[in-house]
Amino acid sequence: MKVRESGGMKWRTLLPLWLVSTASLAAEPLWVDARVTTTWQLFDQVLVPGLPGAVTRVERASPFTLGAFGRFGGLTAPLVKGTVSGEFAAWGRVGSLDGSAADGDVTAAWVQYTKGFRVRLGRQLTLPGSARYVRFDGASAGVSLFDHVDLDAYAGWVALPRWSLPRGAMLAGFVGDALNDPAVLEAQNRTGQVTWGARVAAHGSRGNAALSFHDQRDLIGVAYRTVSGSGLFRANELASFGARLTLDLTALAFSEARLFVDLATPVVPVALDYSYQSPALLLPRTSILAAFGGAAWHEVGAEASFVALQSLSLKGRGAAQLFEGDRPGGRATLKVTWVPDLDRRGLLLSEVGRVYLPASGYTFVRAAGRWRVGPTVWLSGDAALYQYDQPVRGQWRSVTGLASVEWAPWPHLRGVISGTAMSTPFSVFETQAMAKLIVDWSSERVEGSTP
Amino acid sequence: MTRRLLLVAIALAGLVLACRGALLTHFNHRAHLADRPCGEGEGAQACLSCTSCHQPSAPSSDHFMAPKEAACLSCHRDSEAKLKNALRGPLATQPAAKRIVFSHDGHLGLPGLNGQCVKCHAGAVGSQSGPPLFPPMATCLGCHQHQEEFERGQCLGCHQLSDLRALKPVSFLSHDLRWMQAHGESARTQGALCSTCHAQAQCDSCHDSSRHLNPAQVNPEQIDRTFVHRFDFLSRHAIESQSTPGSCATCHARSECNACHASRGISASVSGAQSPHPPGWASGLVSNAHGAAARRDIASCAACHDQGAASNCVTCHKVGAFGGSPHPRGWRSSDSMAAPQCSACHGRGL
Repeated sequence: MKVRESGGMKWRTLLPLWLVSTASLAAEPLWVDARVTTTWQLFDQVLVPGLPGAVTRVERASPFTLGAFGRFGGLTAPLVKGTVSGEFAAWGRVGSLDGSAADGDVTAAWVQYTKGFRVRLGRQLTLPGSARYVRFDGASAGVSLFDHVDLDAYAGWVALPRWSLPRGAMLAGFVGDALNDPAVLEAQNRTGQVTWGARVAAHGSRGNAALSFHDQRDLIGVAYRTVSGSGLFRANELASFGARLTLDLTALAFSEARLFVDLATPVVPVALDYSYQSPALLLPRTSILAAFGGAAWHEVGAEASFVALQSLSLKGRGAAQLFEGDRPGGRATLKVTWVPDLDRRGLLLSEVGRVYLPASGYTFVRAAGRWRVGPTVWLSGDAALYQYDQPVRGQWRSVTGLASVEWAPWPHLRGVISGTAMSTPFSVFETQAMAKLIVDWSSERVEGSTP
Repeated sequence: MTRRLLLVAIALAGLVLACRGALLTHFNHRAHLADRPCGEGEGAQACLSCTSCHQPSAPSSDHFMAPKEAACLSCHRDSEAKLKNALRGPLATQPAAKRIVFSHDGHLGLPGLNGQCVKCHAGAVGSQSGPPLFPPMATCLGCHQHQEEFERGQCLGCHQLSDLRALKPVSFLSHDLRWMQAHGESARTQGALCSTCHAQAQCDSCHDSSRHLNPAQVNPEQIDRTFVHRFDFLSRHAIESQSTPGSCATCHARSECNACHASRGISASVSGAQSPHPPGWASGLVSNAHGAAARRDIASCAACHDQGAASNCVTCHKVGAFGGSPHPRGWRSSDSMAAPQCSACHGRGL
């Protein structure tokens, strides 16, 4: 009897504790999220100035582009204790553009199994120590230790982004001869294009730190082999300090570094940062030109914002730059945003900026506005003037204006029709049109009790 | 220039002063809740509370709706036109960040609140320079401890999935200030936290240059977003690429530059192409600027001149040729001389 009582007491004591602990660590609910975006464009593409001897011709382009992504999480299965999540994203285009009738690609396709550790298989992204991100087909795995340490590793074949194909010719297209010239287009050969890497990271209430290794090879050999360290330290609610440093192991030199200080003062938050880059080391090591560069690039910048009222905010950034050698530079912008009504039916925005790059540079002025004219309809306009310090193709300025109408009859359906007119160094007068339809879907949660 | 800046500053200051005393909403809550004389004595008007006007959307719901005209007309019978302008109900949508899983009933009964809405919605009786109308997340975190959910990236306990796609948290993970410069580092060190809201496809919407639509072209209505390629980027891309060389390398490979330049006839990879360089660029007679330029920004050179060892600098700059050593001071490499990039010049062990 004592034993049973004791057991009962223990059971009654532990059950609430167990319920509380399982409630706080409740399994992720099943969720699904998807978006489909259809875009139609109309514009002229033209080769300017054209290959030597080629006849310049103007072609009308009206491509349809369909992009879709879907993701899910919290999926459980019988006899499997962990959860499964995944994502798929792809895009496709029909209609003549840049000399091809159709195009498309799968940009993400992976599933992840999580049960204390996590394993992800498929086409996915990784962010190595350098500034780039890498898409690859392969596997990644990670585990969290002691609630404060994460170990991650990845390996796979690099999914080549077809960077050698020209695209985006909104103002100037391309002649077919150039597109088909094998001397211009790189062969897409994934042989030997493999990558692998690992990262160890620790995080706590006052900050985080990480150390990572990344190795990436191309057809010739090692393209990137770097070690990166990063850290963030929150001294208090007011100040945070951070740094990142990337060492190129093949050159035994720093390819990138960044230091920053965030001062979250109540009235005017300020961020100060210093960036360092060695452009030659951002090239793949298999590029022979990496042996020719040596000068580095430095930038010291500051950014601040000021919210005068809940509806009016000013944000500015200025930076001084120096290319080792003899060339200074700089850039600065100031943006003013005004939301005149609490219901956010309107937004007015003005921006000025200057980029100084002796003996070139530019100054720009921009004004934009967005207004909700009805329960489901928005109007917006945006215009900018760029004044160049040195003429670009004989012209000193670019003027661009665009207007759009947005219609959202239901929360998960949105359509946009837009028109653009511009006068630039590449086109005395150019107009473009675009229509876009976005369909969102997600498994909504029912409004429930207070968490 | 100074005069223009002064005028802009004066205009902004005037705007700030003009708006400082403005109400946070079109409706004067203070006049109804605090300034209006009321009481329980004979002849006195009954005191109003928030729920006098904001009724639940359904009898069993605790989601409070904006008042309808009839609620105002019960007192203000002679000013219907004015009321219509003041309410403007259909456009006053709730911000996405505020559509949280929340129980008003569960909170209003708590001892710290005692049924007072303004403890959280302090902005209802304040002005534009005062507290916000909708409580920020920090207000929730003043009572609720969610550290474990933060670390596990479980936001669905409070937030709706469809809202998380585009929300910018302001209380605990600020997306303001130097976010454009810092978001890559944050994604690198807190990838799991980012994936709570963002799909990998959302990274691609800006970073994937394999598609022909860039985000500035396809989102013209999103005027408040920071787009790198907004407007006529083609005309200024040469300036931008020299001003911030590493930024281009984030997404674009050198071959992409060349593919475009070649089609315009300004690449060394096209025979008979015109040269973009000034006269005497590499002659060594009139001027010889190419060496210093290459040292300074070799990545720009690589946009056109990295089509193999024979097409670029090593024609002249190799062991035994007249171009001299290409290596900068302090040059070091752990590569073998047999490596392809070295063997173009050092192929015979030189």
